[in-house]
Order: sequence, then C-alpha cells, then structure tokens
Amino acid sequence: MIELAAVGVRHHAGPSVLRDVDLHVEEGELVVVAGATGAGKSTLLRLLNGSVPHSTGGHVTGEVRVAGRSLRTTHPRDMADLVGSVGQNPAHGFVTAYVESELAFGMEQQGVAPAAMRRRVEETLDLVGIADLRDRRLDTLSAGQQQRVAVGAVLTAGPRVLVLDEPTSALDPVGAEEVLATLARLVHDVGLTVVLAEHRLERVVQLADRVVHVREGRVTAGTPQEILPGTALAPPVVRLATALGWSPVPLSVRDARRRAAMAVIEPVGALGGAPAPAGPVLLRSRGTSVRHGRVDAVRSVDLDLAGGEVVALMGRNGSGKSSLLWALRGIGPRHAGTVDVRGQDPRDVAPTIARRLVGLVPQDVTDLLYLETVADECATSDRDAGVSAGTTAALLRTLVDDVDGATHPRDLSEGQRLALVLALTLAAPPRVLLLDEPTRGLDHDAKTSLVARLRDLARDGTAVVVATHDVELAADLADRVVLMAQGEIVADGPARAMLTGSPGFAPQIARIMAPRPWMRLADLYLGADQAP
Amino acid sequence: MTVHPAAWWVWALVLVGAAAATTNLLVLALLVAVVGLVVSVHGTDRRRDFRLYLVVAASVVVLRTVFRVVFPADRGEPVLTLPSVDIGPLHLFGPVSAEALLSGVSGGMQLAAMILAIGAAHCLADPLELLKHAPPALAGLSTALVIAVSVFPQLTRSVHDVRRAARLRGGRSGVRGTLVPVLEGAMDRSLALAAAMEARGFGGARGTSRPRSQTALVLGATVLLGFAAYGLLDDAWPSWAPVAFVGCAVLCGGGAVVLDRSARRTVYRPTPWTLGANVTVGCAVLAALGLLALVPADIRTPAPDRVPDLTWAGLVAPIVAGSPVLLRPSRTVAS
Repeated sequence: MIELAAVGVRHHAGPSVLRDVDLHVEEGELVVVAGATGAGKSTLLRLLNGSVPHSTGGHVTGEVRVAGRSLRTTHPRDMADLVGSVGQNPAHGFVTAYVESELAFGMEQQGVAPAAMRRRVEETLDLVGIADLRDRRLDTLSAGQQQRVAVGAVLTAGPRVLVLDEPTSALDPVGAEEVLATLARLVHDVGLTVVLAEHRLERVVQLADRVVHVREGRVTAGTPQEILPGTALAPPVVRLATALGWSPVPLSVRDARRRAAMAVIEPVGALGGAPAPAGPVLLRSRGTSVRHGRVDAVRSVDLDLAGGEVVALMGRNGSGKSSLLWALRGIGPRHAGTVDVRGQDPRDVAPTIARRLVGLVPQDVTDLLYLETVADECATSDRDAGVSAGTTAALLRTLVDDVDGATHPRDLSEGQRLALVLALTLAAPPRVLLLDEPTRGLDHDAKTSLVARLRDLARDGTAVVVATHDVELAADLADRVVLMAQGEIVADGPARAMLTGSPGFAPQIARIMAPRPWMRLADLYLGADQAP
Repeated sequence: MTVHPAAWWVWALVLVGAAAATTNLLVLALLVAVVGLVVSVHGTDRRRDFRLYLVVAASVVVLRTVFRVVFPADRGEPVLTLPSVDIGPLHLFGPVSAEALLSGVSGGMQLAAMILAIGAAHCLADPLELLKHAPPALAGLSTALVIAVSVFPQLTRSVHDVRRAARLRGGRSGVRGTLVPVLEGAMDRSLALAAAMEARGFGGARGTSRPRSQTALVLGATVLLGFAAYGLLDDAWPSWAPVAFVGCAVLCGGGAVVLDRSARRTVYRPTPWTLGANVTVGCAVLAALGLLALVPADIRTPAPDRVPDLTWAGLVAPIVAGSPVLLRPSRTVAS
C-alpha cells in the first residue's frame, strides 16, 4: 500500500530531516510512528499525502508511492480519495460550524452527486460513531468528539489510508480510548491502513502491527516487540517485561497480568519512600466559583496547597481544571470565594507582587512569547520581574543545557520552549507554581527532566500543581491527586490511593499489579539491576 | 415547514424598504412587533442574538430623541423649556417642541425597524446556510466568506488568551506583546486550515477548470458592489449611481453563472424552495406594495406636528407582513 524507497528530505541549505528511509506498509496495517520531538515524525507523515514537499517546500529524494501513485508528481488535494490526513489540532482544520456540514464539505467541493453524498455522510456517521452528534455545533464538542469528527471528515472522501498526527495527545484517558477504539474498528472491520504518530505509546502499542522508530532522521521498523525494548520509547509494560526478562514481551495489560500471575514480584521496602512531609499551607481557596456565561465551570472549590507537595489536578476535558488554575492565579474570572496566599489575594495586589505569590505556566506557552530571540525574552523577563540582569538566562541554563540565545523562540523544541516559559515564570520565584498540561507534545526525555525540576522546586518549599491527563506522569511526579468533575472536586487524596483505586486513571503498572498498590517500576524489586 | 434561507432574507430586505418609506410611528411600531413575533416563532438557535439587535435598536431611538433635546430646532410650540447653554457657536438645550420630540422618536423608530428586520433575517436564516446556496460560479467567493465567518470568532478568542497570558509576566508588553502572538497564532491556524482543506480535496484538479473570463466577471461584480455601497453613503454621487452599479453587478454575476460550465460544486442537503418560501416572500411584497399604494402619503409620512393617524390599509399591511407566523416552525437545531 505504502512504499518508501531511499527517501531523503532536506530543507534548503539545512541539514537532512530524513535520510535513507526505506519503508513498506501492507494494506490493513496499523503502524505507529514514534520518536523524540524533532526526530522527523511529522515530516514522515506529511510525505504520505504529499504535503511534503508540495505544501511545505523542501527537497525530497527517492520515491514515495501510495497504492502505486507517485507522490513526487501528485498534489495533496488529488490524494484525498486515497489518503485521509488529520492534523495535530483537529479544531484548527474545521471549515464549517456544524458536524454534518463538516463531513460534507470535502465532497461538496469535489462535486459529488447529492444522493451519493447523503449516503456517504450517513455511513461515515455510523462508522466513526458520531451519529448522535450530527446536529451539534463543532465548538460545543469535547476534544475527543472533535477528533472523531475530523477523522469522519476525511473518511467521506473514501480514502484507503488514514494518517494521524498525535491523535490522542490532547485527550483525557477516556476520550483517547474512544478515538483509539474508532481507529481499531476502521482497521479491523473496514481494512483501512492507518499510520499514526504518538508520544504516549502505552495507549496505542497493543493496537499496533508495527512500530516505526524515527531517530535523528533514520527509521527502523518492526514489530513492537522488536523495536521497543531498551529504548526511551518503551511504555511501562514493556519496561517491566524487559526488567523481568519476560519473553515474548507482552504489550497489553491483559497479557502482562497473565505473566505477572505466574511470577513472584516483590515491592521495594517502603513503596518508593514516604511522601515528603508537607510544609505549611501556602494557598487556601474557599468557595472559589467561576462561571462562563451560563456554565458553572468551577463550583465552590475548597483547596489547600502546602509547601513541598506536588499535586496532580486531573479530570475530563472541560471539567474546570484550567478555569480553576486561572482563578487561583487571580487573573481569570472568579465570581465567588476567596484565595489566600500567605495573607494576600493575588487578584488584589499589583502584578509584580502577584507573580511572586502564584506563578502559572499556561497551556499554550507561545501566547507568552513575542520577541525575536531567547536572549531578548530573558532580558525583558528580568526587567518585568524586577531582578538583576541575567537571572532568567541563568535559570534557563539550569533547566535545559545549551539553548543558543540568538535562537527565535518559535524554533525551539517543545521541551525547550516549556523550559523558557518556566524560566520566565520562576525569575521572581513564586510560592505556588501552577502548570496547565505541561507535557503535551513532550517526549520521554523532556518529561523526565521536567519531573526532576518540579521535584527540586517542591523540595525547596514551593507548592506545585500540575493539571494533566497523563496518568504515568502523575504516578511519577505527584504526592497528591485532586480529581475534578463538572467543576467540583470529587476526590482528593494521596497519589497512590487515588491512582491505584480508579480504573480510568490507573497507570499501566497499577493495572497489571492490581489489587496490589504498586504503580511505578520503582515500586517493584526487579533483581540486582534496577529498571532503567 | 422549512423556509429557504434566501426567502427570509428577501422578506427582511423588503421590510427594510417598507420601513424606509414611512415615518408613521404607529405603522413602524406595528412592523417592529410583527418582526419580533416572527423571530420568536421561527428563530433558530441563534434567536438569542436578537437581543443584541433589540438593544442596538432601542439605543438608536433613545439617542435620536436625546439629540433633539440637546440640539433644539427653532420651530414649533415649546412644551418644555430648559436653560440654554452656549458653547462657542453651539446652542445647547433651550426650548423643546413636541414636534422635535415626535420627529426624533419616529426617525429613531424608522432606523430601529430596519435594524430589527436585518437582525431577524440573521436569526431566522444562518448566513452560512445562505452562502451554501450560492451558484457554483460564485463558489470561490462563498467558500472564502464561509471560512472568514467561521474563523473570525477564533481570532477574538486568541486576542483574549494572549492578553490574559501577557498579564502572567507582570510587566507591560504593550501592543507588540499582543499583536505578535495573535498574528503568529493566526498564521499557524491558517496554515493548518489550508493543509486540512487541501488534504480533503479542496481545489482538486479533477474536473474542468473554470474559464478565466468567468473569474474576471465575478471579480468585476464584487468591485461594482463596492462602488454601489460607497455611492449609497456619499451624498456627492447622483442617487441613480448605486442602482446602476448594482444593476451592472447583477449582470456580471449573471454572466458568470451562464459561463460556468464546470458545475463542479454540489450542495449537501439543500433546503428546497417550498410553498412556505413563496408565502414568506409574497407576504412581504404584498405588505410593502399595500403600504405604498393604498396608504395616503399624509398618513405614511405625517407632518411632524401631528400625532400619527392610521387607515385600514396602514393597519393591515404590517399584519400581512407577519403572516409567516402561521407557517409551522421548522425543527430547531439543538445547540
């Protein structure tokens, strides 16, 4: 179905993005493309519908063929009947306002006969399971629903290959499972070929026929068992299997549970050490409520944050996590309630004082950056924060090594950009640090280094709150988990009890080891050489 | 019965014309009531937007009346004398006549009726739905408009997000701090949109390409419409100029439609032009004709010093305009 022979991609006068890529994908395969950020995953995906080189420019050598059609001469718009491609943020690709008209848009442009169009829309609504959403406005849908509508919108053109760039990165665990179940059905029942890029392999690896590992522009392809063990990509289940020497390596929780039932696994002494004793309460919220129009986004939330603890704030998309963080920061709306940070309300004090009380790293960090170079951003930050020149730049060096000061902030990788905004926020050190979905788009290494930095900050007495969908991150990072639903805090407790107790938010190790309360590899005694 | 979106817009535009032809306060009040009734019966899920139009219309009436009090004309019997204030060449306040008040209210009412008629069309028929029914020759234009209308709200949200984020830094980032991230975000989004549209086959080469003369005609029609709008607002232009420009634009558009042999674009689930649509357009035309032909001029535009009077025709015409109320409302889209 898909044939890449000796393919190389380079941008004018730049280094090669991809080199010597040979890849063969059979019809009906589900292929996962994995690798660190900036390794060339997106470029590889865009080759498959001709966006590279026709839309983005660049120079392609070698041959790319999909179903015998050469992509060197065919434009993406003429590939729509063969390759359906969904971008990273599906909402950015929506053209109309309603679900049904969105599904029909492509066919209207191609002049498909009305009767055929009607039939295909009905079929697609059932195929991706969105028939009950057909009359809804697109902007009222949850992120998971939007993702499925975007898949439906490319499917109406009748493609045989579906290409998706990080389809679940912005979704809560339940929304992600809905999208992946839809994709699995398209592969198994319809026989579509699916190629998708993903960072969180734990979600998709049991569905994958093959994994393509992109590393510095070169690819290796093979079954998940061949590719994953021993790499930074390996999801917890594979790490566990590697550490215990299981063969063949199980990929699903079910297979791993069967193996675990036969093995003798012991926990390490006191389960990863008792959580650090919490310091004094730094932030006290009482009755905090936020309304957006007629919707109660946050309803009367009482929350205490103590110095030295890391709190994971979890919940479905739209459960009020972001609204709560902005209200605690004192910038977002707050219609009722009080926020007290050591006797002061961050809403009522001057901006320069407020940022020393509560710091917030927003979900879209690019909103904060507006200068041409990293050095300029750091210098402006020093002035904004009222600290001596060079403070922010020094801070940035402790967060990531070697960022060239002359780089444009947009040219940084996701991890470097997050570090820059974190440095801007920490220039005047806040008592309480809030982060909204910081790991979106971060690869494994960037995530590990973020976890280490946040633990350091907590050790120095800062209260850290991380709103996240990533249960593996919560298991690695948090002392305490606060679960929100419909704007209310529905559960609040120690991370271990919370994460091992709920099926929706349990990390992989917890699912394998249930009912035993182990949730990280570090919780298990794995013989002389501990897990990587 | 689903009424074609174009029928609602024709209905509303004819009522705008009718409102322009009368300054009779009673007729105008009837028209406004009728428009409100039709919206409350047939409005879609954007019915809430009508409130905004009501607020604008009410403030126009109030403003026009207040102006007559602040800047008095020196005629008519004063009913109220305010202490006058002179600021340089300006005479403010002073005697207020009933005549001035009445002409202020009726002038305001006339504008309010027009605003509400347009607002009603907006709430009764989605402009996007209307564009969908544009002839294939104008497909490029209507697609561009559809995208512009859908994307614009994202831009305002983006401005809000960026300004909120800028406050996190505590310092002053100024215009640049807002403009640069908003424009960068808009750039990223439009590239993503273009990529998504292209991946869905937009502008594919299968099918015949449109002739160049047709593109020129569409462009010409657009430019002519621009001139017409300018002529309407500029008093220096002769009054027939806008009409002539619109006429030429229609000819150009018609030419483009005739020339278009590609007919590549199809419409998904088009709303049929039903009896209801005929009734809607017919009612409006009948009401406007009745108002012009059967109501004497001194009732239609009464002298400013007289309390307005009504004839039978003046009473019936607005009610005829509201008869689409009797049509069965269509299924409303769940929001």
